[in-house]
Amino acid sequence: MTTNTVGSSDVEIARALSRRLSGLEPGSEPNIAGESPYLQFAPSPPEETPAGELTEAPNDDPLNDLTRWDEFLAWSLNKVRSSAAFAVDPQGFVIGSSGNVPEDGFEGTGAELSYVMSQADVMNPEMGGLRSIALEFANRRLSGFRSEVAGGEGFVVAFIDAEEFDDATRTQIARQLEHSFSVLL
Amino acid sequence: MSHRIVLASSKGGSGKTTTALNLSVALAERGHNTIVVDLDPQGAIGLFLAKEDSDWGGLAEVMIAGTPPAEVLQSTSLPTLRILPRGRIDPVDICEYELQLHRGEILSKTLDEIEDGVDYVVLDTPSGLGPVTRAALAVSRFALLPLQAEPVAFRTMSQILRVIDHVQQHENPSLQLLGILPTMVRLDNDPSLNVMSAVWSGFGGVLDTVVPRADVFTEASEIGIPLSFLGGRTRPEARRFTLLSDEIEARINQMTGVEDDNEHRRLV
Repeated sequence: MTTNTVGSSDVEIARALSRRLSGLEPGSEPNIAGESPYLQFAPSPPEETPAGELTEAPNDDPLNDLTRWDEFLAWSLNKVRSSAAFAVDPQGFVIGSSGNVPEDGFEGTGAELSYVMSQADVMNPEMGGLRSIALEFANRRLSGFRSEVAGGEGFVVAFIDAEEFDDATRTQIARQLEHSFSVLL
Repeated sequence: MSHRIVLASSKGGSGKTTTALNLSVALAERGHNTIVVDLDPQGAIGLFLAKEDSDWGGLAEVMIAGTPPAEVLQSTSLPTLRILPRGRIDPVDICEYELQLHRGEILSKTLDEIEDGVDYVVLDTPSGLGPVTRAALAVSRFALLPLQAEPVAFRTMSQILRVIDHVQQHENPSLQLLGILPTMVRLDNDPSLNVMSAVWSGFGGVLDTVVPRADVFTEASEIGIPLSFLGGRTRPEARRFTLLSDEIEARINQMTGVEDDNEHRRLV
């Protein structure tokens, strides 16, 4: 075996990963010396809009007849590139989810998100209520926005590991939610 | 629930389509209800079977026209094997196809709708680690990695394994490495033998079955049929896929906790 192949770090990483993924060495991370050699793409910046203004979605975008929260969230996943989505009612209860939902669901995350957003609401009353949030954790990203529907209640639509989405997309989702809200189960 | 197996590799020409098709045939010939899904924007399964580019409707019709997936499943001469083709995608729309497949749940929903009563769903993917491969890994239980036994392909193994590791940790915890399948193996060729020595000596998940390099594969693709459908005597390469199907089934049973009821027998 030539020295160009034997002992190369890529081959060593492949060997370690194959052993871990096949269960021969469960739980051990490949021993990569130093920092990751890879650069990371930054999310694409959203198009700039004047502060406080939402970009109007095209009026000819058809609204869909959705009757279930998981249907609405699956539709939302087609608008926002993310691995999962969930919705939280004004009381902090997760009322639907879609995509790659973990075994124990998003109930805890949804409740905590609702609490965090309520805390942000009172940070500075002069700035008005919180409209959207984007959190970056060590392993995942969580982003979401509030949409006021019937009676002015604020439902939160949240996404896991979403790519950046613009105000037009947010408006489109909010518009669909408002259209479907009265029949969503 | 069916066992979803995705064939993936970062390097092209590793034998994904050949393996996907011939493995599916072998599984079907053993009586397992099998669907092979062509996710490759090239429509590789159809091309292998000598179909014209726009002969078959398939996944594209589901995505664009909302056609129910069951209506675009292609029957074959094997009652237990069906094909979900790529469908009639304009080559200029391949970018959008890849993005839409990766975004949202169309692939997951399509598979959910067609796999009732199915034992195996085998997903063929394009080369590389792009949106289609990621979409397939996100919805599958098992990843089978053909490894062309030559140095450049060997050097790319870290890429696909890293992606599988990432998907397992962050997107699809149920994804498992089913195995690494050496393909185009030539033990009379030093570089190929050297790759096999390295793989056999330290890698995990390497399957016992290997697929040798042989002219019969080109012969079969020229005619547009799987190996086991070639006339005349049964080719030893076709038997490899029978062995592979047996090994795959045993591995999946082991990984899913299905007990092996094959007990020792007495001869005398």
